[in-house]
Amino acid sequence: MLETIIFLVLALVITGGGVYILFSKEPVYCVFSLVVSLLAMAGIYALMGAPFIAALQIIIYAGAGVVMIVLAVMFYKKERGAILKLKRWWFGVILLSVLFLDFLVIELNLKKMSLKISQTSTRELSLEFFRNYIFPFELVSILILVGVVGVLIIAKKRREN
Amino acid sequence: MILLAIVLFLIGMAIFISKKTFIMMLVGAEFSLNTINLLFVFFSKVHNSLKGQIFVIFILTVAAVEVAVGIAIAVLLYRKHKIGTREDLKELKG
Repeated sequence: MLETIIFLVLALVITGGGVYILFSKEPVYCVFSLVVSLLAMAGIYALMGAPFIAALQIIIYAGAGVVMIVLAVMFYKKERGAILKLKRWWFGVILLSVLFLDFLVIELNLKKMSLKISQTSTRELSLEFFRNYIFPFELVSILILVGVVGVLIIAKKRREN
Repeated sequence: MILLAIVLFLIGMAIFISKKTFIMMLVGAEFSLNTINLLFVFFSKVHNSLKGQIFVIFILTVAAVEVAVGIAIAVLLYRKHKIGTREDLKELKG
């Protein structure tokens, strides 16, 4: 019952964040709304018994990816750059409450994991991962290396000789 | 759950289509990718298998690389040619 309520709240938050991105004009508000949606999605992962994926989601998407997008928004559109008006505090409240809900859900699931075996632990996940999927893992590492080198080459200023 | 994923994917596609600047289009693509991750985790729970979660890890890394490369291209286009929106891309010369 509690799980259903939490799931419904998180689903509402995700959908509201998406609709806000859809209808908002300001890029920075869009990006922070994306953060809210991603955190709520991490909460749903934790609710479905995948706490490791939830942690990855928070670290990679809500941390690194959104920081990159914010940095790129900074380069765009100088005339819309400075939007530090009022009415931003509720955004922070939403973000913090979603984060709190995430941790609450992870906590609940950790308690349940000691009871039920069907929850996937990080140990099982890593065993399966490194036993059967070691070759795609290496391929992904090569892909990341190629991406880093490509981005460096793209972003470098070319000297015209 | 599947209904939620469908609705969210449609929202992501709508963002991708309706936004003008490249970065907001990337945000829409990110949103859709996350919806797919949601479905993967859900089915991994339903079928009691770990393959869905492993696939989610791969999607996460590939999406991170995709965001980095896409944003680098977008920022470079804006800096060099002042191309920031879709309307600026009327001519495309190799």
